[in-house]
Amino acid sequence: MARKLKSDKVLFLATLLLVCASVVMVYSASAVLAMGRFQQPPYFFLLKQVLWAVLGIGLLGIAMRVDYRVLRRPIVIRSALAVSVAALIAVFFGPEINGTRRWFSIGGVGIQPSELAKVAVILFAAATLERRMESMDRVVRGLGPVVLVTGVVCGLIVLEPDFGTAFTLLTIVGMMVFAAGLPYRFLAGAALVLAPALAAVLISEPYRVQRLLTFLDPWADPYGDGYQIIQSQIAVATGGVLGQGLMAGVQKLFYLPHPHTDFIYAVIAEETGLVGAFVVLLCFGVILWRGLEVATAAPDRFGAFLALGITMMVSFQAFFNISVVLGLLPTKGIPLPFVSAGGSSLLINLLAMGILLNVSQHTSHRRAPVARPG
Amino acid sequence: MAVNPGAAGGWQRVLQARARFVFCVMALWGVAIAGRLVQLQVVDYGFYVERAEKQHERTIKTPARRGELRDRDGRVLAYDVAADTVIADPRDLEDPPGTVRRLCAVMACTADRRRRLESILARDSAYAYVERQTSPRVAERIRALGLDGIDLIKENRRYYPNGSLAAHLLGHVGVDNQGLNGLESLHEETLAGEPGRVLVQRDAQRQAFRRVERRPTAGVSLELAIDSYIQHIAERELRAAVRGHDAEGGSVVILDPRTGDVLALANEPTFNPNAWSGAASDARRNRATQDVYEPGSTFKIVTASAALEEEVVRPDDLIDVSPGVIHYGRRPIRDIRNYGSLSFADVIVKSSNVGTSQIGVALGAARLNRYVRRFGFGQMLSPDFPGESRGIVHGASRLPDGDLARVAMGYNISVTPLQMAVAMNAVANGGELLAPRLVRAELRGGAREEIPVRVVGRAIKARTAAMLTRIMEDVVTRGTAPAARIPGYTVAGKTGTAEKLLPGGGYSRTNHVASFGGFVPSTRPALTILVVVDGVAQFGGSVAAPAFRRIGEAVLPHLGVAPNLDGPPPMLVSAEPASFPAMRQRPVRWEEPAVAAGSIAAASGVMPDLHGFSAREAVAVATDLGLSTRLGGRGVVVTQVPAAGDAITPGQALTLTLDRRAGAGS
Repeated sequence: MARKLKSDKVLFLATLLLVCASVVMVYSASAVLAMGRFQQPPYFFLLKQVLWAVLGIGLLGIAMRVDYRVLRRPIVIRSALAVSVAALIAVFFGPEINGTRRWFSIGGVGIQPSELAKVAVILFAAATLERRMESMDRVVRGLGPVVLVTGVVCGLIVLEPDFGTAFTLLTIVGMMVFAAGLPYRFLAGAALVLAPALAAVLISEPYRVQRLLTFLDPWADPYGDGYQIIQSQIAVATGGVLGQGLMAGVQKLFYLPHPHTDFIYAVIAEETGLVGAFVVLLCFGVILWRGLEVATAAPDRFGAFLALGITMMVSFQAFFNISVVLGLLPTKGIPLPFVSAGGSSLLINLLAMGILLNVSQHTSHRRAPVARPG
Repeated sequence: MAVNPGAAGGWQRVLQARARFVFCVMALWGVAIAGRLVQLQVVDYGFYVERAEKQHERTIKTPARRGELRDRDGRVLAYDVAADTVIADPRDLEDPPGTVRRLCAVMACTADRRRRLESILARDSAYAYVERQTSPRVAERIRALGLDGIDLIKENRRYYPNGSLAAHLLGHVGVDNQGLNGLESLHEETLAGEPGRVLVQRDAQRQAFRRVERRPTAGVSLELAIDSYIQHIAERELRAAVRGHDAEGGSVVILDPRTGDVLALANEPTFNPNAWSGAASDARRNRATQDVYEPGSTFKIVTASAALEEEVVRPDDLIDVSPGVIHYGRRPIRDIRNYGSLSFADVIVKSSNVGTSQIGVALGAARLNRYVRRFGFGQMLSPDFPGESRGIVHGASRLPDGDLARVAMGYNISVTPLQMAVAMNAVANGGELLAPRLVRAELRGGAREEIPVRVVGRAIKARTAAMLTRIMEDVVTRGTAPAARIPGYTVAGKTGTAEKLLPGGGYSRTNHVASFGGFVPSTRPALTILVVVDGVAQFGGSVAAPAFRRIGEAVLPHLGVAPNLDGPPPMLVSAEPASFPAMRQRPVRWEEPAVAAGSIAAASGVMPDLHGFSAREAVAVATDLGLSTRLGGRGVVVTQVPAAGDAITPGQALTLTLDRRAGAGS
């Protein structure tokens, strides 16, 4: 069938808008920080982010033009998984940064393997679920491989430790399995098994419990444990409706813990107000909506699960990050996709968007009734 | 739920259903986020803005320059200097004990001070004073230490360049430069100005960005009626009188009869307002306005005024004062000796108690009290003295003769020295009671707003005042106060020696309030002077009158008041100073004229500077130089031809123009 391949323009534009916002906000959030804490010119983080954005959009362009079905090949998936796992193991031999080993560096460029691992696991899960969708009511046959691979990768990530990313990955895969038709009784069972496991993981590290307690009542210790949460809320709130104006925010000046990475949404809210915060939220809403449409209209199951996984990866992470910034969820080291400063995350997310856009080219133009907004 | 994806397209139905579910969950989450944004940015906006301001911003008040206090010639009596204050932000201190150690090394702390510093710096606050208004040297050394959390700010510190001069009038300020006494406290709002506001924004690393919200508005300066020179003389002579007679204290009030201006007001003991906290509260009290005393015989001028004005007696009516004692009430009233029979004038001149009490009884309480009130007793006279006393006056229209007789001679009534001086001043100026004026003008920016002279009312007719003046002249020439004579000037005055009340009742014979009040020159008064010395064994004529004389001798030439007695005939060319523009500024001349003249005479051949010299002094100098002098106007020299420094030859003409000092009123 020779039909013109049209990708989803709205999806692309939403992504591009976020990347542009990223470049502006990363500069605003990091200029003083770069000079102060890092003894660098104010453009330090801006230049890096622009470089990554250009590379990432290039990568997106390439991924858009590669037929996603190529990715179904076992060789591709296995290599992706193998590289990810190898890299995840490699970080343990790297230097410790802030008490964690999440990074290793090649030629001075920091690489975060867990980002790549997310895409690899999504690919693997999509390919596996495509074949085993019919067996979803059988634990070993239907879920075995997915659970195994996800478990190993998540386990490695937790060891870094990077609980947030592991949790994100777990949720993404969980959503994919759910979409594949996991019986609800399995879901209940999983909840019974996972809840204690989650609790165990939580309690195993004292800082996690502490974070949770702080989240529940940040004002109990406004200068200690509650500091990040309160500072973030102050930043968001003082933005008001129209914001303080670009570059005019005060909270990023060393009050906010990670103004250009994990808490960049707070800077956006402070400087562009409710309006800017809504625009960014809306962009992710659009990605969620269009991404799920792509998933439901995909020509095959692989494409559908892939689209769903990628959509969830972006939107879940985004909502989670924003919720943390707004004090709705406990602090997790999860960046805001496309917006937070950081090469690995931006590159991988843009690559994933490229894949999603490629899937969108193959959808039948039948409108799925499922994913209408509102 | 059983899923049956086996059918063709079945997987899509399952996927669509499940995706719809996922979408709904995510959409709900999105709505929750949006709601939270609205809550934070719109609903709770105010709360968080307040929080943010608290941590980002601090408003610092920048002190306004306090208005100056100046004397009538613009000499500064009180002004602000900038001083460094050491402040700390205890929350910023990394090592409080170390900081205290290093500060103390610079500030030389006592053990007590070190402990206090330690407790201050241990507090969980963001602002604490380490040392207010420290010396420039300590400030410099602390700055050099560069301690974290220790900072220096500028504060204003009041400085009184003349030390204790006019201390009771000026008052003093507290450590926050707020007025605590005297004019400083009374005119606090005028003087203080409005502090400025500086908003200091800080980031989490405490780097500050400053923004001036409002500049401080400097306070309004006050021009006082005080003449620093006269004040200085008054204080010097009062101190000499008090120390010389081993007195408890005393006051001098000098008024300008024409305006009521307080030219000087001195109290002993006194204090230095630069170091007021070390002074006894007794020394800080303005006795002249806050303390009352029984005036004794000086008060007889009131009785005499009433009697003359009411025509109860004429000056030459004879009054029988023998045998030097009279009985009104329980205790006898005595004269120092039996004068036999005296004219009414001599009753005052000799200060006969027997005679005065008879006159008082003849007047009756209602008439006497009317004059007591007209002379300003029992009232507050000026808004310029905090804590001014009204005195204690029995206003009853009927009094037992015993009480009435004693009021007539200045007992049974309490007045302040200021009130007594004001009453004396009314006689001096022909009968008008003028409110004492201490603040002459407000200097607001460049503008001078004069505070008008306030006439309280007429105390007595001019004719009565003239008669009384004649009598008071005799007091000095042949009465109780020969020591008050000032060579070259006619003096009118009245002595007073009030026995002090003993704590158990009755009056002391050895503990007196000795006073002398008078005005000079009596024919055209330029000064009203009251000297009160408290707690001496001697009499007004021997304690207060000499002080009066010395003050007059020093001040009259200073004011350019020409002698009216036995003076050389003035070589007056023209009495009209109209050809000369009114001079606001008066030449400043502190030296004794004799000294200046002497030094000038030596340097003949060059014209000396005669500005500020009185006609007499100038003529004396000119004569020494062999110049023939032509004078124009009255007062002191304001212009001279040839000018100072010009070459002169004997026989050359010198033309001087004189003018009364701008400060002298008129």
